Amino acid sequence: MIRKLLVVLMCLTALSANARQVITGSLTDKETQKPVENASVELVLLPDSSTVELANSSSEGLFILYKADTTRTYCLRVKHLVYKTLVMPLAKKKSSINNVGTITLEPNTFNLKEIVVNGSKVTVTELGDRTVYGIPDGFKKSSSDGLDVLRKVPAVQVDYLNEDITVNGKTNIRIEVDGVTRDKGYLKRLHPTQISKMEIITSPSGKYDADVDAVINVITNPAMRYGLKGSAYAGYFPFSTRSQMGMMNGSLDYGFEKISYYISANGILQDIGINSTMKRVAGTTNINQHSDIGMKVGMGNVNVGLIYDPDELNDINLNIAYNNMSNRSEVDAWNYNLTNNIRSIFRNQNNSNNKNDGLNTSLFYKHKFKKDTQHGLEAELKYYNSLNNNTTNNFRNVYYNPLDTSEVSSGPWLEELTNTRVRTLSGQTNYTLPFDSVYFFNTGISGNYNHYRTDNTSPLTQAADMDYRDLRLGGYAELSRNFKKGSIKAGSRFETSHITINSAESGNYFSPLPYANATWKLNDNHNFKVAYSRRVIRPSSAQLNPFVSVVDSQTISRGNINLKPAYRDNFQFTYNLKLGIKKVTLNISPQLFYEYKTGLIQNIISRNSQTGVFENVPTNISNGYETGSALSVNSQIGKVLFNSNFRYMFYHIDKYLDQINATNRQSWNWNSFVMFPLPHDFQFMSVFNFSGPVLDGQTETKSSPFYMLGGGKQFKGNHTLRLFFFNPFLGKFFDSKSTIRNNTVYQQSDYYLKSNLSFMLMYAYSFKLGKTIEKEKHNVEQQLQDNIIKMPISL
Amino acid sequence: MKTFIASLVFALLSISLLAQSPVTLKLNLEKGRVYKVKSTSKQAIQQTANGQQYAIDVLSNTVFSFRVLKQENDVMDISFKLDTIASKISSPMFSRETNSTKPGTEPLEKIMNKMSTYNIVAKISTAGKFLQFVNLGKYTDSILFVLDSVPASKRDDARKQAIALLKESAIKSMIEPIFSYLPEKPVNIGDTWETSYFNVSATLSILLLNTHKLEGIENNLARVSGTSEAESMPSTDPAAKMTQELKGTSTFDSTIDLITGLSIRNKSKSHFEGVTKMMNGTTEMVMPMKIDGDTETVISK
Repeated sequence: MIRKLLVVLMCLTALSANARQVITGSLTDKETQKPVENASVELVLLPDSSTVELANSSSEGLFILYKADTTRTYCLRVKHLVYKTLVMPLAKKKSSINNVGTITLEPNTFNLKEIVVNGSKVTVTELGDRTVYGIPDGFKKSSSDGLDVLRKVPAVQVDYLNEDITVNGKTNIRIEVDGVTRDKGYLKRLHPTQISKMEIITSPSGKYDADVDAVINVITNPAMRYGLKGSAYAGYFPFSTRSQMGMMNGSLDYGFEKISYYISANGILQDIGINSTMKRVAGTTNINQHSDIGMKVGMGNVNVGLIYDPDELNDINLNIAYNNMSNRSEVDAWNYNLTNNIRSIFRNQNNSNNKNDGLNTSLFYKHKFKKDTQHGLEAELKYYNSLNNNTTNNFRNVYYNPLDTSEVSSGPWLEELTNTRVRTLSGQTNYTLPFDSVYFFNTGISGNYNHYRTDNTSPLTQAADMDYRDLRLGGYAELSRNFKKGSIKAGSRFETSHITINSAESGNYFSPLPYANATWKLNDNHNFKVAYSRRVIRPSSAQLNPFVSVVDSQTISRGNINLKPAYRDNFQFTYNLKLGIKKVTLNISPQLFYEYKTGLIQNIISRNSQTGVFENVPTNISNGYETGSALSVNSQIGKVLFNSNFRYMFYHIDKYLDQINATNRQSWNWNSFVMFPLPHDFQFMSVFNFSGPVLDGQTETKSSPFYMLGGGKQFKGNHTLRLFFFNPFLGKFFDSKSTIRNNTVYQQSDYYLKSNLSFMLMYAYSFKLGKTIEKEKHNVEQQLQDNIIKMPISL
Repeated sequence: MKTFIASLVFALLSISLLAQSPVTLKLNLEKGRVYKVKSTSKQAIQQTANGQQYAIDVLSNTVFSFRVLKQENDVMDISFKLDTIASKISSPMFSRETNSTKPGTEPLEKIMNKMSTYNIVAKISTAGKFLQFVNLGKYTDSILFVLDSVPASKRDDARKQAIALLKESAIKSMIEPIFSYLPEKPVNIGDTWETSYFNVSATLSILLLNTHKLEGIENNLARVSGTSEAESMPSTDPAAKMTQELKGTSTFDSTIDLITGLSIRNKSKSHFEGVTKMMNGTTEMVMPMKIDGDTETVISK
């Protein structure tokens, strides 16, 4: 009886809590601040995305929706032919009036002529510090995950073997998703349809750590947040009978009205056979080395987290990522020596096991003081703790008679051990204050504490341990101003670092790092951008680790505990041209750049006069610069999507002692991507990556071209099958040729994978379960249709 | 006899079923016919400023006429003429009388007079929903010509007043309440339904949430009673020198003609409480106020 009464009471409570509500607000044009008339404003019920009511805005931009209920959750979808469709969640209110205030709509800056002429969805927008690429539907359909979408963005390269990301050849890249720092694993959890835009920041502001070379910020589609979604793919990638690779990825997320949870996991398994040759001439000594390297590599990543948006002013993200990498390599190197006309043969066998994994926890909080402005505060706290980070290296030399190659003697198996513990704690807070609607003031502070503890054990050398502690405090302040035809920003980051290595203070650095950028929009089709930034290149812990490691019988390598940070001053001038002729849309961005580097850290090989052994040591060499030009093309020709990024570089390095002569080198790289649809839901896709020589100290490295072509088919029910062929006409894969020249040594080495027929077969599946998700699917498709209607969008 | 009793029972059943059958309240207006809306309102306002109470009486008379120009499916083009907008404000400090039928000398009077001269056409559904204006731009442009006759020194202020009076939401809220009482579905006696609309003036927007109840039907006339909850919307204009925040309720009784669907008579009593805020430089003056009102609206052919 009591239970029944309780049920009745609960029903009554529910009934009394339910009340009608009127939602009202006004729409204004972001640029002119004038009311927007005749926009359709839909009241959309969440989570099922059904339309409750539709109203048109009046001549004053006002809209009124009468059919809301205080107990339910809604979002507004505002559509207008000449404005970008806006979907905004509505904060729940108990009052009978929910006045959402003024909503600003961002115009699609195109004229009617362009609507008729152009039919493209390719968009590129140049902003002061970044280039924004709209991700067209074709890219999404031909991609398996967020990282795969990134591969198709000009200026970005994602290695197919290790998935290393570089931007314009630079490697210290920060990844963000909707402004929150993430890792590659998180990118792989994103379903391609979730991605709306990619921002590539090649001149990072003071908000970012001074050693960040570039930032990739992925903007997701908020409409994809609701409901249960999942995706999975598996790929098999044989290079030859000796080498193969497999990859798999799975993700699941479930979004409620205010909170969404996700979990994702991905892994790569490689079983690779690498061939290597090396020829060294040092004085009267000649060495010819042929190595056979077998590598088994496993990489894994798990991301778990939640995104909590209690209201439109607050945003909380919690993410826990587990990363694991282990590899086992077996090196069998045959060395043929000729020293003072005496021949010798020895064999170096080296078995190495390397394992590292760690847990990264991050918490991000963003607060907007007012929903219609950028006045806000954000804070981020991250903690990384390595769990198991060790390397075991077993090696021995076997000596042979050069006449009949019979074994003469063999050395004992020796073992080197390295165990590293890494802990880093970092925090950052940023504050944005807009005033006069044209000026923006940004400021922030950050702190990083890094602790690396490396225990080294070696039977041959005295293995010094390393205890590295680094406390960095930073801050920045910048002021920007928007003009009708552009913007200007100037600021500076300040960093102070206190480094202690093995209890001895290694150095205290204070670095002012100014930066500035400006854009000028001549008209909708012509845009100019100039940027300057000063950045730091910090030595890595591996470069600092003084542990002596045996490379071969005549070469050792070690870190350099005395390395100092290097600096680089980067200037960029970019012109962006948009062309639309019938069914052709072209975004062409030529760029000139100049980068002056002070105290470059590069590897120097020198012969120890006492031991006669070659030592490979990272060193602060002299200064140098890199200058050149780049041409980026982002285009759609009919149904063909074509991206290309060509970069020409001229390097100069000043003379360094007697190790490096003043050197001038030229290099270049070209990345391109072509994709077009074929009948019956087939797609053709091709990728080309060609790189010129890269100079690192005395070492010049040339890499083989990478090209890939193939296609995919999308089946009903979100099943996709893809087949790609890699370097079909080359016998070598990932071929890397290095040459070292100085006054004591000439060395040429070649590493490559033997490739018979390299291809990748991939199966991908994505699903959306339940009624809610079906409607969500409709919602996303609707958005895609909207984009088609509004094209081309000039952001 | 059996047949007679059976017939009687069947007839009674039919009558009771007919009595129970829901009634559809929809506009069914005669094309070309002129309908007149007369509204009389008395408001007693009590305002407190600097600790002192002031009583202000406002008497307003409004006469509209409208006629259907055309009807396609369930949408009518109706032409409205604001024949008379007259008001008399009496307070211990001042008295002011305005009447739109007179040309007037002050800019506001001239604008009101022009508003009474031209017709404005709106699309209204047979369910009483306001859809959109047909000639709003032309209507306002015609009225704004009167500003040419206003001395240049007063023209800017007059333009601001005119724009506030002629904004779409303000004109809409003169027309929308005339028909905004009809239920979306057929109703039975005792049924209730809800309607809402905004009443927008130059400085104040009030949301009215109305609940109607069908009390009875007699001689093709439906008796409807109801209550309204009203609440003002916060001002979104940061530069506004005067804002009002009001909240209140009203009760009403109305009679709906089942043939035309028009509310031929409506009597309401209302009580509002709130504040008027005035910005004087950087200081804000808050004046509490109470408003008691009686309104009667009659629609005739």
